[in-house]
Amino acid sequence: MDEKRKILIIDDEPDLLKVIKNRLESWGFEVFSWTTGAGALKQVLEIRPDLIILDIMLPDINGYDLCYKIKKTPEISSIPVIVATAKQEWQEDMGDIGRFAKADDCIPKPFEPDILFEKINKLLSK
Amino acid sequence: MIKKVLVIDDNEQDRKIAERYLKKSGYSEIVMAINGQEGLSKVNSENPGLVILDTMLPDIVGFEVCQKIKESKGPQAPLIIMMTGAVDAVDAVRARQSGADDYCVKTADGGPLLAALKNISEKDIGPQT
Amino acid sequence: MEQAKINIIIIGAGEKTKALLELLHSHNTVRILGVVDKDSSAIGIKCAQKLGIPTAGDYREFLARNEQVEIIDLSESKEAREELGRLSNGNTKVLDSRASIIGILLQELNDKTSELEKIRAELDIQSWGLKKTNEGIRTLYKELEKKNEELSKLDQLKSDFLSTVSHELRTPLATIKETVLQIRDGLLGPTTPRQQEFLSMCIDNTERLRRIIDNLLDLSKIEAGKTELKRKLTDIMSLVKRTCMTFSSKLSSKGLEIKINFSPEAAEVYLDEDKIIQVLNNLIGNSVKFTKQGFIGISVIDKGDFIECSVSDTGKGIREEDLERLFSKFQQFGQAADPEEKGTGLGLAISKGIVELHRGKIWAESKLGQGTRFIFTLPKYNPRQVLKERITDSLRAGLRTQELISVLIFELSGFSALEERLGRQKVVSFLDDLAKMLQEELPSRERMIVEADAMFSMLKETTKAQALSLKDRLLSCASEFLKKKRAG
Repeated sequence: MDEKRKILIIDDEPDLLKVIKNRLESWGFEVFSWTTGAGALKQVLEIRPDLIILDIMLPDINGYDLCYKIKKTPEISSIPVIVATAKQEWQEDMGDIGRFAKADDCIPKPFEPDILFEKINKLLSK
Repeated sequence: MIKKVLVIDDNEQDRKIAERYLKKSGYSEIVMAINGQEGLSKVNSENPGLVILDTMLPDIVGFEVCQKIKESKGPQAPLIIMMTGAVDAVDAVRARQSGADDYCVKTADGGPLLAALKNISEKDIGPQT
Repeated sequence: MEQAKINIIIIGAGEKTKALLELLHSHNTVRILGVVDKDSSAIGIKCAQKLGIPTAGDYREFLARNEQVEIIDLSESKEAREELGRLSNGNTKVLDSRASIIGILLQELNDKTSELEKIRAELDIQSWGLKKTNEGIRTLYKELEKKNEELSKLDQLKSDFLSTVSHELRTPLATIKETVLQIRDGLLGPTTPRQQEFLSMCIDNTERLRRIIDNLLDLSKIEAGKTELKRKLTDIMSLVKRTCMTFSSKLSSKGLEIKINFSPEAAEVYLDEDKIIQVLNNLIGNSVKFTKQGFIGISVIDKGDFIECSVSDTGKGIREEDLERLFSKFQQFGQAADPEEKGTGLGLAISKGIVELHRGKIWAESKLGQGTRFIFTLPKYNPRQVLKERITDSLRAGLRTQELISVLIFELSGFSALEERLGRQKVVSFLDDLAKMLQEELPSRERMIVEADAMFSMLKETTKAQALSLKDRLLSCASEFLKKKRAG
């Protein structure tokens, strides 16, 4: 029995969450979602997803800090994280800042589905 | 006690601002003059107890107007506060030499003018209420 | 005022005479005819001689002429007074010494006092003036502070606006695009070809909208002065060549040729690669769009202090009157040859912004029907200047946050010799590897930035002591690294 890989999306946009969930499920993933920074870490520890897609603009905290925290927590630090954002300057600096938060990859919004697919597969195959 | 105030300034905005802060300090009778000539004639016809005088007037130098007022009216001369758009030490001295009783910077919030008016009322020669 | 001088004979008595002489000798209302003292060695006599005043043992020696004389007797001897008392006649007055001296001194005092009064009045006016000036300056200073505060608030608002707006615009666009894509690609069930056609149109237009948003935000950022260039020394020729290659398929599909003209030697320019590629894409893209046949000419000429790049085409050309408005926002001239590639009208404005940020110039030459040529210049920089600029920028950023900063700079000696021996590529990659390795040793989030033959790191919240110990550790790591490299 083929076990589905789990992806956790952390994003506060309900419409976008619904739509991306659909896309990821069509690719054969089991998708979990969370909409705030608060409690996100706990979710990760409970669900233990195979990959996390994390939006930077969360209502309560800065997504990079969350990413950093995830990477600093030993039980979950190996889970690959893709950071995503629609915000202007973060799109430009994403390379650098993403690296500092120890994110594994980054993707701007609106995104190209093919590119997202590529990035997810690359990280999961490691 | 000062009953009437004369404002001599060629800029409408500045006249309005002066009026606003004069009213705020309790002076209700305010007359206007838009140049030195008019100012001098109104000093005679209106007999103000206080004059707010702009240093830069189109026809006569502000300091000359000040001097003329003080000289012509002698001991009955009104108090004169000179108002300037810029700060200049030489001008300040000149204002005093011309007989001005105070010399203030023009600002939108009227800080210096209000302070000068407060000074006058503290010396018990404020507005007649 | 011409005053008649008073003639005086002083009958001396030592110190008093000396004092009086010193007081009066230069006074211009008094003329001292002589000083009298029987004792020729008296202090008074000595003083008079020093001042050039005649002296004698007897006052009568000075009484010769017919003039008014006052005799001041300081001797206080009874005989002298008696004798002098008999002397008063028309010409000679024996005055009470005190009275005459006092008279003179009083006059002097009066004069001095009125002078002092005048000076004091003057000083009062001056100090009043100064006080008022100071008050005025303080008022203006407060106004200035208020304005500054407003300005920085405005600046912060601008930044917040740009980042918020970008987020607000792009988020719904992301949702729209994804939903339409999924429907078109059949994830929600089958669709007819006609439906797919319409949905594709929707996608194309969301893409167009995204391009406009990107450009608009780019331009707003440049105009707000919020664009920071990420500059590196770059080989401009290879940059231009690489960019040209990305157009090769489009050019061949339109049957257009490309003609290249480069200066023979490679030129290094301190520039932001991504941004200059953006400019080249814009210019070459425009040329390709508006040219139906012929060729696109690209040239890069080294002009000493600066590089001159130009993109020319054999397209429709631009009217001379329109050349001025070319770099303004939302200008589109004529129909694009390819209707699919509708531009945003902002590309040239952005290119101008980028070139000018690099302190270069951009302009166009064209005649209707005779093609167009876009030219831009970029100043060249030398490595030392580059390093200095980078460090200054970092320091400035650090100052803004008011933290403790230390800057560590490592220079590689013999860089040019190494470059010659091993070739630039090898040395650059070596330095990059060294920098990456050293970066691991730095406190988290700090970077080691490489610039030509040196690398530096700006360390936040680091004291001098910490920095020095870090430096030692880094040096030992570096030598380990070098040993390993040499062995391999």
